[in-house]
Amino acid sequence: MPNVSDVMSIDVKKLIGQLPQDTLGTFEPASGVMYLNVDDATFDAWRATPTDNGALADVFHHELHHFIQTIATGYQFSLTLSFYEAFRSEFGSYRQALKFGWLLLMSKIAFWRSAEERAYRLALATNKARIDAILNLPRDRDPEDRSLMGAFYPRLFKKLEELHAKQFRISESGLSAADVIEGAAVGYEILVRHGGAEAAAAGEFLERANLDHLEHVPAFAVVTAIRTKRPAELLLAAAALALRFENPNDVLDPIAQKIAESPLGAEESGARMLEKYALRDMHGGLYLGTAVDVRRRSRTSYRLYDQQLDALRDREWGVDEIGLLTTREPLSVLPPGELGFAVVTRGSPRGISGGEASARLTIAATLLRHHSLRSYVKEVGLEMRDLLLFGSGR
Amino acid sequence: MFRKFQSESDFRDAIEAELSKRNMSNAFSEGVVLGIIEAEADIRQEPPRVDPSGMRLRIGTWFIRDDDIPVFDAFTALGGLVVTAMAGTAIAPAAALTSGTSIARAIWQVWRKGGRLSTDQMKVLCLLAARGPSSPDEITEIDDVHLKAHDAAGTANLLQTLTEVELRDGSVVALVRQNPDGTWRKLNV
Repeated sequence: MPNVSDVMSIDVKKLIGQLPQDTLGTFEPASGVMYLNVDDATFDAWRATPTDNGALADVFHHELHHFIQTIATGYQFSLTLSFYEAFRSEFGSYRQALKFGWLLLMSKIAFWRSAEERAYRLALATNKARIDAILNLPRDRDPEDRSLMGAFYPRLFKKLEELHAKQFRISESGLSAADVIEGAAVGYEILVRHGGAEAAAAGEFLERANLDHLEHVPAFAVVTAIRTKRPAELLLAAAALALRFENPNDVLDPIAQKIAESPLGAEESGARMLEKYALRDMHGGLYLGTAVDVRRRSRTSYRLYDQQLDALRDREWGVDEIGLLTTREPLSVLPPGELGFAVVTRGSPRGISGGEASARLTIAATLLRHHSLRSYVKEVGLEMRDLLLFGSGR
Repeated sequence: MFRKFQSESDFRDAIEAELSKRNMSNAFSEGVVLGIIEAEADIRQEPPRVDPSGMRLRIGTWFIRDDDIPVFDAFTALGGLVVTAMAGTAIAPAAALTSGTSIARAIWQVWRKGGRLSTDQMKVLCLLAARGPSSPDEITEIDDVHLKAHDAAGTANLLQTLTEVELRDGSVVALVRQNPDGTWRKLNV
């Protein structure tokens, strides 16, 4: 016989989705969850001896850069707010409905005598509600989308796909915004890996720029057409400023050209000079500024990165946005325990626990469509069968 | 974690090395290499579905993950099974090669797309590829198969699970089908 807390609790491990085999990691910004496609043992071994697994370090730093882009650039933070608002507008009304339904249910089960009877009735009602939801799936759902959340919330995914399409649209510059975001993250990964070894970093950057099977090489091509020395440093400094615009893809090249006028090795200060005097004259659509600027102008209820944005605004970490986006040693700048993102391996979430883990993983699993409708239907069917036949959950 | 290769030929060499490490160097293993290459080609022709949120870092080239090792181990076991299944028949190496290609192509495609097959499921698939249509009775009676199911009913249930294998994206693929005469055959994926 199930007990009430079992019925009501969310098994966090069930929320962890399986990433595709060809995917090493992903960062979902609205939930602040970094997924690494490794098992717990591999991750723990790497944490104990970070020099032993270069590939995992690369993935971690790549995704870490996406987190930094989220808290430091107006473009990425705006996009994150859009994801969050899309999620909230879809779930706000459901939450109200659920709250009402829940109160009604609790008032009913209070009359049932034993704790076992209450748990049984609750499990029955929960599964009946799930079955009702399955039977009443929206008719406008995309038949090609076999995910659980895609089936239940087709409008949400239509909105998200519009945002996504905008991010991947290639403009006359030959780039998309995603090229700037991903190109910078790959550049960062290279820079962190090679540390102070400038020539080695440049060598790898140029090699990658010629590999046409890699995604987002157009951003590499923009930079290498300007110069071949310190290309990763140039790309990061230029992307740090380009991502303050509505259309970062349209300004990456002119910004990189301007920064390249600074002496070699002075990319960061070149970016600061440009930021101070000429950045707003660039034609990249609306100037959004930093993530702190976007938060100040918006009336959002989104609070996930408040601590990090406050720290950046008040320079508590001793670094500004440009410094954070271009540093070779991010983990020596970012204070441990205040990073604001959670790491999720295949086996477990790290850095979050309890209710927060459930909430953030629910958002991430929803937005990343981690679970299939088919598995869910099978699971609900089996649970209901067991409840009816044997009076207990599986 | 993973090894990546710049070309199909480097990838092929790595697969051959994996199989040869397991003392597989016969017609069946040649078929396995071909099957994996064909499966990869099929997968690369499919349009990728994208996550509407999230920034995915993809390997973006030919790769073997550490997680793939159990599949190579399974192919080794399957190679032995093919020999057993074909014992006493006038089997030409060409037949073993064809079986290897067919099995590896199906298993690798399903594996790469997130479908997880048990060793018993792989064994049954392998037997159908090697023997052609077979009944649950015939499969259960083969020496050295060592399925967890000890009887024809259990084998029939196992075959049934192969009619609907779920992939990571929630889509379903059928790997076998029952013929009107009650025998089962392996489908081409």
